[in-house]
Amino acid sequence: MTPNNQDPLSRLPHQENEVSPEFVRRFRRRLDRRIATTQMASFYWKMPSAVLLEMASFVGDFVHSMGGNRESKR
Amino acid sequence: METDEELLQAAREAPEGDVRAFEQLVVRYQNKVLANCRYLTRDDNNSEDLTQEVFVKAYFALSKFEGRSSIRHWLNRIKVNHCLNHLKRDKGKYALTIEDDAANTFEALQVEPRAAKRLEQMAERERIEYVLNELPTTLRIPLIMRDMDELSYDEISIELGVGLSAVKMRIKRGREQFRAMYVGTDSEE
Repeated sequence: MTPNNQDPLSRLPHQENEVSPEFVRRFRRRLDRRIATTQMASFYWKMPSAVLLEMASFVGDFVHSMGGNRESKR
Repeated sequence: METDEELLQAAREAPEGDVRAFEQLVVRYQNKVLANCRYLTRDDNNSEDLTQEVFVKAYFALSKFEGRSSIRHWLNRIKVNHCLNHLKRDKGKYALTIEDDAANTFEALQVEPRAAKRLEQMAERERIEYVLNELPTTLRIPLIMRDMDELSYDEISIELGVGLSAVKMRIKRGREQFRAMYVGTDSEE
């Protein structure tokens, strides 16, 4: 047992190591980079479907307006 | 001082990009996670990077955390998963030791006696670190997951891909070896 007769295994959950003083700043930088990457990936993933939806909407409006013109000529 | 749950709630409710609440959780757990990463991987050079990655993963998993376990337990699971993946990537060393059935033999689980020689005048923390580092990987990893990370036998069995009885046996033997080395070196001083 340890000098004060405690099971050394009971100390395992309390083990800690000092991180470097820059740890939080470096973590923040890393997190910011990851967030930016995720946002960019999400943008490029969604962009094609957004473009398609816009085009479909445009074509729909165009067709509708053409139909509207014919109606008014009659 | 705010509780873990309050900080977690604040981190979830924070607007995008505001990580101040989460940073407080990082500061609270950073030393513990770093120690665990070091002991699990024995990789002093990369353990701080691993620790940062664990917190980054935790940040992106915030929305999935249901609060059924403590934050510490949740972080431990992310950490263990990340460290085991790191070990698997690390030239297959881990795969050779943990997943090798031959490692279950008694000879494979023996600790070399040289470990006992160098422990004089070490601080307790260093002694624990030294003993852990001298344990074979087959014993060290399950022992840390159980007695340091406080994961259940089932969780360890799933994470390691090893049967429940093998996990129990390795933890039992790991504890025996750990105590024997620790006590042995204590009496030598």
